[in-house]
Amino acid sequence: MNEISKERWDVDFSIRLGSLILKNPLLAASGTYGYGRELNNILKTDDFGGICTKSITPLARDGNEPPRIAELKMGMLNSIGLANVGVQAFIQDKIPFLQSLETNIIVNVAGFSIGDYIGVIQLLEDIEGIDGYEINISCPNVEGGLEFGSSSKSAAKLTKALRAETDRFLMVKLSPNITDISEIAIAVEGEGADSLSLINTLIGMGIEIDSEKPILKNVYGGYSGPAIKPVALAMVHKVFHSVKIPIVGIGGISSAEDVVQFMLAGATAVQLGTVNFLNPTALTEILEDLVAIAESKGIRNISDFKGRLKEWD
Amino acid sequence: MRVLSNEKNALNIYSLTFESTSELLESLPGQFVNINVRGEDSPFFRRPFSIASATDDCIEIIFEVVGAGTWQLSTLHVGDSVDVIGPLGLGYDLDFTESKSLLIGGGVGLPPLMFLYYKMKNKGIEPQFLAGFKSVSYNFMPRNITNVHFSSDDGSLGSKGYVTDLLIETLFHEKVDHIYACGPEPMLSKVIEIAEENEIRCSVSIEKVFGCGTGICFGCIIENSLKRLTETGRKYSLACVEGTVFDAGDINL
Repeated sequence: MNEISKERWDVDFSIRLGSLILKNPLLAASGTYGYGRELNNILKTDDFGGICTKSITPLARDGNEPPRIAELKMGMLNSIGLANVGVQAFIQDKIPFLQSLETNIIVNVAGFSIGDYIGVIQLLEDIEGIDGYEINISCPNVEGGLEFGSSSKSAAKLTKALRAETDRFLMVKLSPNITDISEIAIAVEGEGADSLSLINTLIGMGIEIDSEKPILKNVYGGYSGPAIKPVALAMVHKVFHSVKIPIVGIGGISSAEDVVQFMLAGATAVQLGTVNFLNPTALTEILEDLVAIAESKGIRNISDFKGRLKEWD
Repeated sequence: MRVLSNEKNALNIYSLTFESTSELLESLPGQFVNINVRGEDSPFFRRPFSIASATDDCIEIIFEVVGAGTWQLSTLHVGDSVDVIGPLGLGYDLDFTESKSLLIGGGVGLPPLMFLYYKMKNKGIEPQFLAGFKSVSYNFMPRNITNVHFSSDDGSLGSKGYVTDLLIETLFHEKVDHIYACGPEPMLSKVIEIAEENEIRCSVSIEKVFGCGTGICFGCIIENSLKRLTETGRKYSLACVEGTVFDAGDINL
């Protein structure tokens, strides 16, 4: 287990994300780090700049029927279906450990109606140690889940309702499965979101020739992993030029080079997702490699990479 | 981890040993390691392998070459490095309070039972061991495991037929208190059915597609039995961290 301490590096990793100060720009992506405790014996969860929990809904959910994950050449498909313990059990069983961590705790909230989201947030508002919320308006796996994220009107309405409920850091996670991501981003910013995280998974499908069946019972799933990185990078770049609030980049990030590319495109911070499944110590390796890249470019503050992308002549 | 040996010990079957760690040293039968296989056409997910033995010096896995990942593993040489995480999952209950144990496995489902056998022997227990293979060419049972009854699909080793036929036959004339099983799902279903008919406690080790092996992807689910559903309120269990070993009465295969 490697202790990551800022003093070891010549590079200052700390960044400001809205009202939050992160010790480094790497967060664990929702749905890829459980409730923060599962991998703590392999990698200290504290070492992340922040963690986004599994999506929390008002009631416990078993999720979709199996098979609900499958591997492809450059990524994976999932149709977990928002399986989670529900907000009550989350508060009782999962929060105490999260409170013991010295990192930013961002609770990912999901629902099927505005009331669902409000219900979860109201219960969490009195709980100490939660630094903010990430709003999942884009889980493509459950019927109806696309509703809020697929139109700027409904995304704005939800953001407005949640902004009225909390003064905590409020980040909205955007779906790539739409016509114009900037339109949604602008609408959500207009209603008071503090930050945007993007992208959620792309809708995908796999087919097995032997059985002539879809590889997922749910037929469609969310595609993630290195294959979606170019799509995510383009969307981060596009949104960066459309809004003023900070962007957290997500999509196939698995190396320090990927992190730098997302920051150059305009991301203030990034989330590690699928890579946590494949390499539970990816964070440590990426931070080490980031130092080398920063030093080779004479960068002392990691935040200096943000939006530095140069234009062609 | 550094590879210490990689030997072909039956048709398409390899025994791979690598350096242990203090965590791996504490491995229990039924636990697994998750290996990141690198190389051309390597699979996206890690590949899980049951631990076949764990000594002070090394950890052993036994695998059959079935695809690109296992082929890559078969090409590893002594001194090569292999990216291993583990031990993962929960192993077999080592209480051994029952007086008569029976281990039953098929093909590459046998390694965790071999490990269990060694643990039992260390405690002075001599279990009955039933092992099924496609044919004699696939037999990788080490000689230090005695008291084994074999079956094979083509009759080239032991009795012809399924290892579950052997189980039925054995139960005719032997009293068994606890069955430990690992193998392909149809075999496990049959073992569970036989155990239920004979009212014998049965523990099975399950393999699913593991996205992570560490309990964070929530992909490798197995359906809970009505009993476990009632106890936990959950429809599914995670095979990687709540298994791989389950009491047969807790799951629906």
